[in-house]
Amino acid sequence: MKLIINQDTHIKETEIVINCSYVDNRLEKLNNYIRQYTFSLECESDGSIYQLPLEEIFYMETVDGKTFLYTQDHTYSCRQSLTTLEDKVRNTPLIRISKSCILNVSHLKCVAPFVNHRLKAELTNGEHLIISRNYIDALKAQLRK
Amino acid sequence: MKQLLKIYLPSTCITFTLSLLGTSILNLINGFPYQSNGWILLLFGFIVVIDLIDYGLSFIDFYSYKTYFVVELIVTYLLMLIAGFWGNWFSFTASSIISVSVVFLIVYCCVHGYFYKRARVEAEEINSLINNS
Repeated sequence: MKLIINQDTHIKETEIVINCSYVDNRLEKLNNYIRQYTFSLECESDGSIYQLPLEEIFYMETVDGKTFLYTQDHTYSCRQSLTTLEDKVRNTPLIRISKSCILNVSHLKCVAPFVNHRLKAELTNGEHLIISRNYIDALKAQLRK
Repeated sequence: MKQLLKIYLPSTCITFTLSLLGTSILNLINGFPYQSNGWILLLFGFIVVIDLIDYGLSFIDFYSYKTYFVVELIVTYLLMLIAGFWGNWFSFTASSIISVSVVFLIVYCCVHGYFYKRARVEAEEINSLINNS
């Protein structure tokens, strides 16, 4: 695969064009990976509003009806529900792993068996999340993409 | 439905088969060559209750797999003793309690071992997908 980067100060918007004969699984994965760089989510922290790039989000979680976004070392709150966010991040590496959590598989380090047919996910920042048994097949499908 | 087919039906079948085998061997050793049909139905009912307990325990956030293993072991063992007393499954002498407990422990470990092994295979599959991505 040839990679060409044209750097020019006159270019106003960054553009990525993939020329290929057909989109295979690897290319689809690359596409999904790039896609997460194309948009950000609005969130709040300490009274300020931020636009959080998708690739920085490790996971999103609902606690007591409130939605929180977690990055490497910071937590942001979000006014949108997890279901709305799930719709927004479709075709990106973010996938639902339980009723209350959406994980960015780009930050998934490994999984291990856990209580009651569930899996325990370890993230690259050392945090642990529980993958419900109902979402294991979807996770595998996402990783196979 | 998926959980029922993937988890509870296999676990019920494994537990039922192993329990019948274990108690049949115990009965033969103790000189009781026959088992009543009523007892077999009671055993099946008991296993369904254990499945319901397992489902109930799935809502508790256990710290580790070991904690879950021990808690479920204690709960189901106590339930087995109560069912044994109520259903007159075995005489409450030291020797029969020990032999029934041994059978119970073997069946419990086999079922948990089977599902833990399956979960490990699944985890390894996902880990290889992560490493390849």
